[in-house]
Amino acid sequence: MGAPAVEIRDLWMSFPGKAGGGPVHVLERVSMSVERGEFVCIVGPSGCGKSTLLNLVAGFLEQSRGQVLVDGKPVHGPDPHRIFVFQENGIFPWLTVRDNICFGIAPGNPRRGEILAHYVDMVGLTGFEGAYPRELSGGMRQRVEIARALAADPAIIYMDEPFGALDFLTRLKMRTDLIRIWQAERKTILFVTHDIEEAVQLADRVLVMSRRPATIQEIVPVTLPRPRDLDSPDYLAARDRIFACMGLSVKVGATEPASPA
Amino acid sequence: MSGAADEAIAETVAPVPARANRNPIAARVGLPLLVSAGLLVLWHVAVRVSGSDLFPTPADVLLGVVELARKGLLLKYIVASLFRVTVGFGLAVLLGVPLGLLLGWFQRLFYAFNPMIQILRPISPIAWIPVAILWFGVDDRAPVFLIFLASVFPITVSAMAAVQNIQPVYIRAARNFGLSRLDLFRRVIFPATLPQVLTGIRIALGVAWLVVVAAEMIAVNSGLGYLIIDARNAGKRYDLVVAGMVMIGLIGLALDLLVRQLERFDEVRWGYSR
Repeated sequence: MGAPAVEIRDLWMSFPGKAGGGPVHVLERVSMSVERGEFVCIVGPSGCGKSTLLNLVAGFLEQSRGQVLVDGKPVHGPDPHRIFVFQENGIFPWLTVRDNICFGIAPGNPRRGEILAHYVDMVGLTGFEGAYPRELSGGMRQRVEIARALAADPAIIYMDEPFGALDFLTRLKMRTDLIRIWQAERKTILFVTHDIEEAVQLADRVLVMSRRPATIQEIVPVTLPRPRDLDSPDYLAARDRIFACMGLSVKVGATEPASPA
Repeated sequence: MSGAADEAIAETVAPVPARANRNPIAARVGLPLLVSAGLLVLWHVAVRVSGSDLFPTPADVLLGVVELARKGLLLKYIVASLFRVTVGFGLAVLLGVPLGLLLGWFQRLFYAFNPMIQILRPISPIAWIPVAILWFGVDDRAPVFLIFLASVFPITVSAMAAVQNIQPVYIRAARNFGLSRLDLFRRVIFPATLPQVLTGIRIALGVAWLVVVAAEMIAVNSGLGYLIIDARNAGKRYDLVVAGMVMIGLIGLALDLLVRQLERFDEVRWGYSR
């Protein structure tokens, strides 16, 4: 099968600390790989460095130590073959839905119109091509960003809590749609979230990160067929295993299991 | 996915507060007219009561405007003032916008030039009048220079701040799509800064209009500023002084409304509605 789509080898990351303090160690000894076409979620407690990890993999940050390889080649900076979908919504407010989605398509591409129509339809925004982002809801804006990423035809999509700012129902719907799109397009997706349920609903494998300095604590494969039954014992078992990894109880109000704080 | 469509329709129809909907035209046109009329009456009565024979009533001012128009001076002076503002302000936009964008983008340029800009900026353009006369004598170049000075700083500083305030996510998205430096500027930095640049331009135009009047009082012999000082010096014609003031106010309002129209374009509207 050749090199994995993404491979991380012994990655370390620290930031210079505030005046007086030493450097802040965010990541230590992170190693992992993502196969082509795989959907991998990274979960971890807030502030554990999972966004930092994704930014390193995408090439927006430079690691302190270790290597990030995409298709066997070291990453130096961002690249149109690997598109990042931002938590805070990175679509351009001065462009219409149409121009946002076309942003990553080469201006001379004769299939431009065709590609646009395909992805507008895929994310369910037909009829809104001429609208500006400010006229859309949060969920629709996030769909525009996903369509913009897909239209650039990347091999890999990195998603940093892309549904974090959406309400519960919209989030559920976006997950269903994302899985449908992923199944149609077969991109490699590396998806960061702090929402354990979200990770288990989406991923082929869930990587659980520890507290800072973070490392990959456990890899939980989720082999359930899609569409996933959120009541099935296997789903609940996978979810509870991740809860346990993070030192959390599933029952609200129960005493937390003793954890080395 | 009709859910998305429903969602959008629900959210594009903005709720209108019930109170704002009551007689909007009557309130927005009627009230200012009422206040203006009230103030004019008050003015008239105040002049009559004080028995002043120098300070004009509103009617005297209106006659003064008519007199200036008949003599052909009104249009001539307005054109003279607007011409100076157009040239000085136009030069300030042409220099200030690119300069501000460069200083905002290149940190070293910012370090090098910003302190000097911050020292020159608070010097009133009025303080430059003697210098302008020394350099350019008494012709159009002196007020044009002063207007340029007055407007170039607000324009430069707002363009500079606009670049520094760009949401980092836009830059990162642009880099992710592999934009060249030129494209990054053309397709992201320029449109991202346009709303704030336009606001700087609007503020600068207001300042330019203030300064042209002051400059014309000293450095030239035409324009609305000259009209005011000349009417005062040649026979204490306060009806013409106030007529000039009224024209300045009305034209200033018109200029501001004109630039505000630019803020309604879709390319920049996103920057104001937050």
